[in-house]
Amino acid sequence: MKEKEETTYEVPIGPIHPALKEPFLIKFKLDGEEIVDAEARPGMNHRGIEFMGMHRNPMKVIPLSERICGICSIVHQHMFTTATEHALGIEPTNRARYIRTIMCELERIHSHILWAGVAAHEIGFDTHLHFTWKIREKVMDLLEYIAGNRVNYSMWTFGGVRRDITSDMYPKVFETLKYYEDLYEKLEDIFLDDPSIKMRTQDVGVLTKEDALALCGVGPTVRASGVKKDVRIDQPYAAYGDLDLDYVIPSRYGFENKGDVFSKTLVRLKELLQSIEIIKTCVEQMPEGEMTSEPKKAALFNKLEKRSGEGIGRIEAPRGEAIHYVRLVEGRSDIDCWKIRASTYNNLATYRPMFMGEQIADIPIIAACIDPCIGCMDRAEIIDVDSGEVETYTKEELHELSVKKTERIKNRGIK
Amino acid sequence: MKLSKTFDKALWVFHINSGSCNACDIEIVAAVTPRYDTERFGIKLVGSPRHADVLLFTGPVTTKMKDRVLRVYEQTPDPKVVLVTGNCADTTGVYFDSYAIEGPIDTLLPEDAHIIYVNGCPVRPENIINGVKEAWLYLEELRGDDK
Amino acid sequence: MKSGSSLSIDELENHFKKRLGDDVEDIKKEKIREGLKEKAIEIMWLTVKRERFRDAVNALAELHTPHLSVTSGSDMGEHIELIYHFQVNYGHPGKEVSVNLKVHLPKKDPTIPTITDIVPGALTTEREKQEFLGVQVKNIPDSRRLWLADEFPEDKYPWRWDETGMEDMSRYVHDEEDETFDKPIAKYPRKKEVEEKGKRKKSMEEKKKKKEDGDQI
Repeated sequence: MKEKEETTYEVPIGPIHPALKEPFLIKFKLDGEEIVDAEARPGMNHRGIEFMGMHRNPMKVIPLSERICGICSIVHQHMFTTATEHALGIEPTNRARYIRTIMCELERIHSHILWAGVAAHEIGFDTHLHFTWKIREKVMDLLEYIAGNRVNYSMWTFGGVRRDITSDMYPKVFETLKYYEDLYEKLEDIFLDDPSIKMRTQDVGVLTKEDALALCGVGPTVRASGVKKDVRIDQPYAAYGDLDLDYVIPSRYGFENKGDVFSKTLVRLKELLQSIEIIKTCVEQMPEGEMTSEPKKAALFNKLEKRSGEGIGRIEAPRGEAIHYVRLVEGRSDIDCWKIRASTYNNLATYRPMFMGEQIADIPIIAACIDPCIGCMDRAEIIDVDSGEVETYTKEELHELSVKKTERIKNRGIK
Repeated sequence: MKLSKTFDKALWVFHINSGSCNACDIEIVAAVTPRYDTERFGIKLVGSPRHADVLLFTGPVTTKMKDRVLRVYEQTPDPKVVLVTGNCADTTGVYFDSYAIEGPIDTLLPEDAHIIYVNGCPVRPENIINGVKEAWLYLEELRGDDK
Repeated sequence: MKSGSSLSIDELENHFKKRLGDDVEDIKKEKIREGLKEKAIEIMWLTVKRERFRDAVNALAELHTPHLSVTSGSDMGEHIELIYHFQVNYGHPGKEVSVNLKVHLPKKDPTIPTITDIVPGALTTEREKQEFLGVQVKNIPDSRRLWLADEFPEDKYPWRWDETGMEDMSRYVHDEEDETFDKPIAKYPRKKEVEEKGKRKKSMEEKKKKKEDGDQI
């Protein structure tokens, strides 16, 4: 066997995919069709947000924190504000907590439906991509109705929220939830009962429970392996403590805790139902009261400047646990220290065990199965172990391989 | 202007994320999928810059992406239009004063590049469609068959 | 710890004291009440001496496979502070405790032993600390860069406040004459803040003195 070629970033960006957006690289080592090693290389999208945040005052950082990620903008806003509230001893009102919870769950619905479409696209079912994105527009409409914008809502402030969910909005909320409840059966039919999707997802990209625990994975990625980790239940924040929740793991629904792509799909779909229930209960239980405990801007600014402290904000994002750490120092108007940790950061490490022993055609769906938020596997570099040659596959070619595999499986099924 | 009479040439769009936050990117996908459905006009996202007529840039340009973005620009055949999508692609928006950001895309592209700005944070799908229409008109004008 | 049981925050404190004795300091326990039922979020902060840091992580690993959320770090002037955010008792509804282990590293010798053999998932965050704070992680299995560009200077670290920091490298990309945008950051803001405060104090004193002089006249 020849010496393996060491490769660097010198890879053309190549095609970026309409479904998974950001630039991102995974390096594979291959033995024929089989993957023997995989390494994720993030960093293309590094903007230095923590550095920028450490040179601005907390009020200015709220809009910046939303723009860490457009899909999880609520998540990062929530974590930053709660971490700051924790650091400074500001307490949000209970009504704000309920509104926050509702918004977080609405975002989970839109994120999971988005993911389902991406996953279907990766294995060659473009009709499902269009179907899921069509039904996703309904929750986007509701978010726009409540917050005023389709993405990046700017709802959070220290001590509460900036927009209320009033009782005349409830019918629209319930209507949307009803829409998804009615559609749920169809979604399950598509993603869990279809024989060709089953063949492409079952026993593919398996993450064992031991690996999931050791690598500190988070969210649906590890819950599919039977790991009970969910911040909403473990350490209930906002209004989650008032709700009666249970961990969504496959064994609860009579499936095996396998940790393959199928289990991950199952967990995400079941979480959709859970989110619908949560929103319903929250709207019904919503306490009366003020939107924010700090209505006076001057007093709030005074607190932000005059107090010091450190705090953490944790949340169960659609992709798993995420955390912010904030430290403020008296007399310094800017943030002293800010650390952001998104879910994909921890889940990156789980790529390696999932890819091992799989085929090239399965790369797209496995790459998508953790719902990578930092980006798109834009161009995979493939090193043949025997010859040491470096081939590069474009995303398009990989996608084609994946689609062909689905066709093969279908044809085999018919014969 | 001929746009209203014929759609004789399908417009292929290549999308590059040079460091954006994903918000514009999901709105672009939303513009392609059924609610807005630009594919009925022949506007389509393609997988290679070599097939594209329009380049859709989102996000400020990060250090790591700078060379790659320029390379993609060079690989796209002429005539081409650059669609700068979103506030942070236009002025870098909230991302300023950072060591990892090279600047907005229009400062890095050659001077003869034809740029159309589509603003919003994030841009709305309707606005993206409008931007693509502008690009289409410009390309028709270049082809010289607008009489 | 028996499987299926969980430790309360006080039991955790005792556990650390038993394992580490006096080497664990500044134990701070916090409870934040949230929601109508006021269930508590339990957070614990503690500082460990660098020599006993691995023992502290081992003490956590005795309980169950530790969940390391992330490591945050900052430049405190004389030393670098790393905070390891661990979560204990996951899988027990409402019982999870956040354990934040602080370690102080002197700037002259910013080294820390790796914990990837105890917590394999810590690799990403350890690599990140090397890049962003200039911390040397001893015996790290993979010390390559993860986020920063290859052409980035070796001796510059974005989260430092001293001369190895980034202030002189950050670019202002907006039009400086456009008033709708924020103005560029000052170089070395901390130094400047101190200087300005000094100036203000001085001018105030001068004014006061003048006034007093005027009164005398």
